[in-house]
Amino acid sequence: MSSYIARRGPAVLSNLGRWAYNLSGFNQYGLHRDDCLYENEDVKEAVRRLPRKLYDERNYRIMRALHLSMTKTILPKEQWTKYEEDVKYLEPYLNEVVKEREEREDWNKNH
Amino acid sequence: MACNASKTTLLRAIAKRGYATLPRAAGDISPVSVKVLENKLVVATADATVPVSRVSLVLGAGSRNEAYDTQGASHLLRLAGGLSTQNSSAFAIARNIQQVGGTLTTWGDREVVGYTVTTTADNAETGLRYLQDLLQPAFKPWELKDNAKTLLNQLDAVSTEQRAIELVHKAAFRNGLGNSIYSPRFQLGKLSTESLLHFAAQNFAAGRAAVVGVGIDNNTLAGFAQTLQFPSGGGKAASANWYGGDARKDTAGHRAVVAVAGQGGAAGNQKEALAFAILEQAVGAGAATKRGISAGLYGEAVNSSGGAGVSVKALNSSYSDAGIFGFVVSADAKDVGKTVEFLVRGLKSASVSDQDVARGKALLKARIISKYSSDGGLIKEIGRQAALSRNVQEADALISAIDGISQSEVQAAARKVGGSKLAVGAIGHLAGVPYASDLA
Repeated sequence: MSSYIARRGPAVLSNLGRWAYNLSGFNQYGLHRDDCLYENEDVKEAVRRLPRKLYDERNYRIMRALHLSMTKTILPKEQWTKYEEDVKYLEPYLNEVVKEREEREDWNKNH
Repeated sequence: MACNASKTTLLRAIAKRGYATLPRAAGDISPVSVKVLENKLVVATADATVPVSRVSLVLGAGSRNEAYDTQGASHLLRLAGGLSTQNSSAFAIARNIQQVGGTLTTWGDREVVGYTVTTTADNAETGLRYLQDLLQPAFKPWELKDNAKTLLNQLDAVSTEQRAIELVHKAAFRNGLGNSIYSPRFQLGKLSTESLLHFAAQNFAAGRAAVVGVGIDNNTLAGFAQTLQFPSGGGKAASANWYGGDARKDTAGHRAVVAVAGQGGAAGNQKEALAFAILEQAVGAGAATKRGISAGLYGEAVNSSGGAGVSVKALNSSYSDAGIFGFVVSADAKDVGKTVEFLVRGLKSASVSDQDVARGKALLKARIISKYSSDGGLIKEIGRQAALSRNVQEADALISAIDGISQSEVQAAARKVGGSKLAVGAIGHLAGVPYASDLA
């Protein structure tokens, strides 16, 4: 399943991107970008399709973040997610779900 | 990824012209034209009785190709007919075929898996477009999970007769042909996407596949077949050895279904296979009337056991290199033992009168002609033949081959079953069911 290999880091490395990434703050909870997506229907379906390991890792990160938020702390700096190491693990699945939805919508428009 | 060959206007014109002249009178037997492509793929076509095109992609990926830990893969291939492929989604396949009023069905046996698309003749291209995608199944893990329930329902719907037949195959061949065409329950949810893709890549070889059509022009179909992308293949079915013995499954209830069989004729040896087919009809393949009793040995068995609630059917399957011949009896648990013993005595005595042979031949010919004269029957028949023997026999040739079988050849077939080690597959209340060693 080579097409489901996730992208690591940003599409284009830039200092502006790094600044914005660090400013957003979710990395201080050890989250990745794809952990913070708003869970609409597409994202829910993509999450459902994740392989077991990725799914468990996602849940672990989210639970840890909730716990940190509750205790009003953040992770020690060496455990923060780095801009270059943020894994877009959901992206291939999400793209597929969106493509399937668009195909359905397209069909319903034309038939 | 669309098939461009069948889209060119020239080919389309030829195809259209073909449809206009082709439809044959119902009941007529269509001539079959066969073409072998460079990559050894066989393309066979016949005319249809109605302007409906049926095209079948037959792949040598039946259950006999499964290894011990990929059991059930061919059942999942049949299921995959409705799932996403690498080029198109399940949604696209279903909607586009439905939109032109077509259907996509899958079928299979121990040796082949077939995908058949049926559309009106002028929409054949749409069907072909999605049929070719089935060569690259995707087996997405979530789709397999979503369809686990369907698979379970399919297993629950398998009749006890069929399960007895699966069991007798298991006893007779152990592996290869002994694999059930239905996924074993312990394999549900266990086959990974990777192992299924590997199974498909190994067995979807052009040299073991066929593209057959009824109601489609041979050139059009050959053009389509040329564009198909087959994986390299390389898998080889385990050769069939006959072992015999028992495979029993005790279940609750008061009925038992018992299948007993000896060695039959391989399809590779056509004379022997036909002799067995005649024998099957002679001993009683099925009643000619509704709820009737078949003529021949098996009908007698029903009569002698009182008749009530006993049904006996002949079991005869010819695979490419082996065969199985016997009977399936379904009866009350307390009667089944003596019915089985009566039938086995008949099987072993191997007596076939010339009347039996004459009746068998007449019944067999009628069955073959009726199979060849309906489009739905014809496509499966030529599909199976093209995939396994790389050639298709026309009905006329088969009929004259049947006439050429002598009584002594049928007698020899009967002796072969009688002399072989028996295999017993039984399911139900098995207290009274004899073991294979008791029947020897």
